[in-house]
Amino acid sequence: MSLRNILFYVFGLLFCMAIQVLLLRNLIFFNYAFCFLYVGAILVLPPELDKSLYLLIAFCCGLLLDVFTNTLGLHAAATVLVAYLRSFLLERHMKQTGDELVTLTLRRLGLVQFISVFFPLVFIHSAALFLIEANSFNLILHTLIRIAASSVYTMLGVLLWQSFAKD
Amino acid sequence: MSQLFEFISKHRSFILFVLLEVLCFRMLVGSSSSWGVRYFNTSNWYAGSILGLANSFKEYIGLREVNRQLAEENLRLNARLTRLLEADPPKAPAGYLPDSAFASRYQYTLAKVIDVQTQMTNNYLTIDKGTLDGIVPGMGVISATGIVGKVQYCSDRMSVVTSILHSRFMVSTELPKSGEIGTVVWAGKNADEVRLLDISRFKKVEKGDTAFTSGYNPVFPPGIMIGTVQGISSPESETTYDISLRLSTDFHTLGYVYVIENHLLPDLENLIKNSDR
Repeated sequence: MSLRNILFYVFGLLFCMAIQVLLLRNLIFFNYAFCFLYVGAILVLPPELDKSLYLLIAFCCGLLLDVFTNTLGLHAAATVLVAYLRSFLLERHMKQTGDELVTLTLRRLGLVQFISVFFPLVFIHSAALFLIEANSFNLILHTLIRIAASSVYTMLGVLLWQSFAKD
Repeated sequence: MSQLFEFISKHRSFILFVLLEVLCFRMLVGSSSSWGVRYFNTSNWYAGSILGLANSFKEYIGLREVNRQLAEENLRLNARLTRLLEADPPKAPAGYLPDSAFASRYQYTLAKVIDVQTQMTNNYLTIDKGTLDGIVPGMGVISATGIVGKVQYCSDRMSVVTSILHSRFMVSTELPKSGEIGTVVWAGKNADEVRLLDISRFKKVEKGDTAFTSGYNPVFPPGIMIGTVQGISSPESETTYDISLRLSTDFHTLGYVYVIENHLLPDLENLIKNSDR
């Protein structure tokens, strides 16, 4: 991976974290839909990255966001989970379509493939996050609506961001 | 032993994953006592200043709403202040008890200024309340900082207000420091300055004295600020000063105004008309 590529990903990650902290924290629809754009930024990091390093990056990003939301460990747990699960989804994708993925961009994958790879991860992230946060099944319907709305909202956010990002 | 290392190296990402998750949950569960809660929260200086920056942006966006709320609060406070002052006037001799209908004769309505003129000889402003909101011509209009004018004409939803910057607008004005009562008219030149007439030359008036509406106003409650004395000239041939007042209301930045209704005004007008006859 060239230096230019590394810088590109680092800036993408920082940009998404900044947007997440400064803007999206306040852009919550109807108290149900949360946009976790930073997950998208972590998920599109190149698959050639060492797995352990990738997990640590995800952990740090999640923890950094936790500092800003006063939920120490919550985002970190959900983010590490999807970071770990990503390799399985990428493997599945490779088995199905037979193409080796080097970069995970919207243009490279196409809309349908992009969603089929990333939406399950985004959904798992939202589910983990809200289930851990709720910590009980009392308000399960409320939590389920939040999970569904947030994963769709996050996916839309990631798609929007990806359509602006260059290859 | 080598098998163990091999196992670790083979599954190192899984082991790291489990470790990290355990760490996360430890932080989540034990967050009330752990070291993390002391440093890793929004009271952290860096996190706090970044969030403060974001919040100041939000505050700027929310200024409009804050303005509206403050104007409404002022409205309530004004109404209460006038009622209390009228119920127990500070200058009245002991034993004076005003009628409760008299004490609560003023009622305030909040309105937003849509348009202001300051350049003409006779200036008007437009507000967004009309007859449907209970506004009728003749009511007084003030702002948070001082006097504004008098309602001239009303449609259903809007009203035109004769501002104090009008050649025929006069207000009975008091200089509490010298105890004199005079009349304020607009000099016609600039929007910050009005003239105060009929103040006797034998009283002491100083620069910086404050002028308020007097108790002789049918339209305005007493004690609404008009301005401060800016310049005093005393022509030899006259027995009164010619005082220039700096208006306390800034017409260039006028946002919200309060329309004052005097419930007893029709009674008063009736009385004056009958006694003339």
